[in-house]
Amino acid sequence: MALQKDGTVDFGMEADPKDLLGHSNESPDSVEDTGDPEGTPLRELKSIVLSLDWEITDQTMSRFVKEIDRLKDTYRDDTILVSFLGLLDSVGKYIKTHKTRAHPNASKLLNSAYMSLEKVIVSKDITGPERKKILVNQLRSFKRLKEQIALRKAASDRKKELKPSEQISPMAEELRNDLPMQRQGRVPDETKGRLRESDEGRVSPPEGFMSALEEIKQLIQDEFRALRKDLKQWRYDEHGRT
Amino acid sequence: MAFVNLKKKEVQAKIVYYGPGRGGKTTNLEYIHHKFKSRIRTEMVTIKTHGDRTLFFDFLPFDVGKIRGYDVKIQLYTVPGQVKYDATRRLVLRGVDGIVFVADSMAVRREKNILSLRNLQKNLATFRKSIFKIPIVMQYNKKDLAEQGIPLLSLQTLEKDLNSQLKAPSFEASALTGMNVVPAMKKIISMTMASLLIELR
Amino acid sequence: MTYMLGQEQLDAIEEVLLQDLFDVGVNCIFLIDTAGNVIANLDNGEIQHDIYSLAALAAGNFAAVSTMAKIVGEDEFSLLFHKGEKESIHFSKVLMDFLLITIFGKGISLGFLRLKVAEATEKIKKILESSCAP
Repeated sequence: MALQKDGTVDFGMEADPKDLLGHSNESPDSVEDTGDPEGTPLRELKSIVLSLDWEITDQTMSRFVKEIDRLKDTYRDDTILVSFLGLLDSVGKYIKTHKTRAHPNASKLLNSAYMSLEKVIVSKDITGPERKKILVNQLRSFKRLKEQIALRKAASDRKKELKPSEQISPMAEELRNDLPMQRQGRVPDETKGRLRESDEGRVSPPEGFMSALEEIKQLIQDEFRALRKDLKQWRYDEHGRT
Repeated sequence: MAFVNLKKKEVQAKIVYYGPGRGGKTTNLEYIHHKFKSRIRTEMVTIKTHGDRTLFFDFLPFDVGKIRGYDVKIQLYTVPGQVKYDATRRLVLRGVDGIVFVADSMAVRREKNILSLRNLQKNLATFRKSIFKIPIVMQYNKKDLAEQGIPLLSLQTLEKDLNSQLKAPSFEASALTGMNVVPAMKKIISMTMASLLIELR
Repeated sequence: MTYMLGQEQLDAIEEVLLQDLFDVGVNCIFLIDTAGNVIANLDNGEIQHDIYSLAALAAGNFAAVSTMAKIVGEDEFSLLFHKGEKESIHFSKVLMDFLLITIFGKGISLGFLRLKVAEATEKIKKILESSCAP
C-alpha cells in the first residue's frame, strides 16, 4: 500500500477483489459492532479509532499509524487481517497527509474498515468465506473512495486551468441564487436592482440606511416636540406657570 | 448588539422584556404573537417549566417592516422572572438593545418590582451597560385587576418607586387584555432605532 | 454596540461556508452573533429550519454552557455538540462575539467536521477582523 505523490492511493493488491471470493457481492455498508475487543490486541486501536471519530489530530493519527504497524506484525501470518490493516494504513496515511483536504468519505471508511476488522477478529464462529466476504466489501468501498478522490482531483485541476473570469462553480452559482435572502425566501423588488449594482465587489455605502435613520430621527424629533408641548401644558396646569 | 446587514439591507436588534416573576412578560409576547399572527409566520419559542413558568426565555421574531428599503427585524425576548434564575437572566440580556420593564401593579408585588429593577441594573452593568443610557420603557401591568377589586399600586407610587430617576416613557397596561401592549412595544422599537442612529453617527 | 457588515465581507463569509463546509456535505450552516442575530446562513434547500429561532436558542445554549464551564473552573469547553438520530449540531466560537453552527447528517464524521470547522473559523475570523464587527 502506498500513498502516491499526486494524492491517490495505490493499494498494491494484485488480485481483483472478486477473485478472493469468486463472485461479486452486495454493497459494502458499515458493519455492526458485534464484539468486544477487550483481551484482544485491538483494544488500543479501538480506543484510537473512537478518539478519531471525535477529533482528528496529528498526534492521534501518528498513534494510529504506529498501532497499525504493530498489529501488522502481530497478525503477519493471517493474509485477510494483513489486508485489512493495509487498507486502514493507507486510509490513515491519506487522512494524516491531507487533513482538511481529505475526502469526507475517508474518515467514514476508516471507521467502517475498523468495525469490519473487529468483527473478523472478535467473532468466534466466523468462517473463512465470511471473513473474505467482509474484506471484499471494504475493498470495494476503498476502490470507490479512490475513484471519488481521483474525480475530485480532476475537477480541481480543471478548475485551475480555467481563466479566473471563467471559474464559476455551477453548483455554487445555483446555491447562491437559492440562498435565503429573506426570512420568507423573498428578495424584495426594490432591492434587487441595488443588489446587482453592487455585485462588482464594492461595498455599497449605507446611503439608503442613513436616510432611513434620518427619517426615524425626524419622527422622533416630531414626537419630542409634541412631548415638550405636553410637558409645558402639564407644568402650567400643575403649577400655573407659562 | 444590533447588526446591520448592508448586503441584505436588514437591521436586527434585540429587545428584552424584564421584570419580576409572574409580572406579565410572557403574556406580553403572547399577545403580540396573537395580534400579529399574519405577520409573524413562525411560532413563539418558549422554554418553560411544567408549571408554565419561564425557565430560560421566550423568543418572538418581529418584522417591523421596511424603512427606506431596510428590513427592520426585532427579536423580542423575555427573561425568567423568578429570583433563582438570575444567571439565566444575565445570559439573555447579552447583546440587548432595548428593554421593556414589566412591573406588576399588584400592591403585594411592590418590593419585587424594585428588587427586579435593581437586578436589571446590576446585570446590565456586567455587560458594561448603564440602565440610564439603554433605551427603556416602563410598563405597569395588570391594570385589569382593578375591576376585580384587587389592590393595585397607583401610577404615582409606581413612578416614584421605579421611574423617578430613569424618567423613561411609561404605560399603564394590561397584557391579558392587550391594553398598551403594542404602544409600549412600538415605543421601545422607535427608541431603540433612534439610539442605533446615534451610535452609528 | 451596533456593528455593520458590508456586501464584500458577507460574500466572503458565504464563500468560506460554501467551499469549506457546504461542499463536504454539511446540511445547514449559520453564523450568528452571541446576541442571537443571524449573519449568514446556507442550507441544502431540503430542510426549512426556522433559522431565527435556532439562532436565538443556539446563542442561549452556548451562553448557558459557557457559564457552566466557568462555574466548574474551565475557561470554556472545547466541544459543544449534540448528536441526533439523523442530524447533529456542532457549535464553534468565532472570536469573542460570534458562533458558527453546523447541522450535519451521518455522511460526515464529527472528527472530520471539526477539522473543517476549525479551518473555516480561521478564515471567517480574518474577514470579521477586517470589518467593523465588534
